[in-house]
Amino acid sequence: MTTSPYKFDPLTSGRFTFTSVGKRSIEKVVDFIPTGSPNVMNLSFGDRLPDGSIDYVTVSDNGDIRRVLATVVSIINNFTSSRPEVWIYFEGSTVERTRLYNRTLKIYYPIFSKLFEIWGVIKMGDDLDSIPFHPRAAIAYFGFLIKRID
Amino acid sequence: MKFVKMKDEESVRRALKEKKNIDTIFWVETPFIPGVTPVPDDVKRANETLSNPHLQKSLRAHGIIK
Repeated sequence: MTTSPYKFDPLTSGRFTFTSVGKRSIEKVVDFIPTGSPNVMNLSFGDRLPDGSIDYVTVSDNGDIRRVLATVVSIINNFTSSRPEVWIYFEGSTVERTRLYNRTLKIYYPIFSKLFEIWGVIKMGDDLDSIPFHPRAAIAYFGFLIKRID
Repeated sequence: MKFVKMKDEESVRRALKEKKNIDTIFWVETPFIPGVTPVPDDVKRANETLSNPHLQKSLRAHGIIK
């Protein structure tokens, strides 16, 4: 396992776990971890494996995706309520996951946009750029940044 | 949906096993220790993305990063 030096501010990372109960019981983990940008935290989401490590890649297909995503939204809401100044960044570990996040943001946009400012990261040739997230735009977002509206 | 903060991950596991209550989210806050806590691939990927110079310029212009 590798380690990397980070700038660290007084925020602590948060870990939330919950159990997805569908075809089987799966322990889900949501981690908020500081990035190299002081006011941006990464949201990592995955399944806890028996050895305690987290699998961020596998799609578990447990038949309860909407409930799982609604729970993640609740967790983001809870986490940012005490850290309103923080931007949360997330991108899928695969293109399919990023598409899933995009679809989820579109579905929940009417509710989500009342709580959060939402930005998308897009590819511009070889570069990356940021634009406000638009639920009706046919854009292949690369990642997402959200911040609680004060 | 109810949030219950637990003292450690073992307590979370025990609570999940005993209560099996999917409307409750048991959580613990774990300190992230730079240089000690392993950095997940997700975070490495995020850092790679966020350190893109063009994106940084854009994020600064919009007041997202300082």
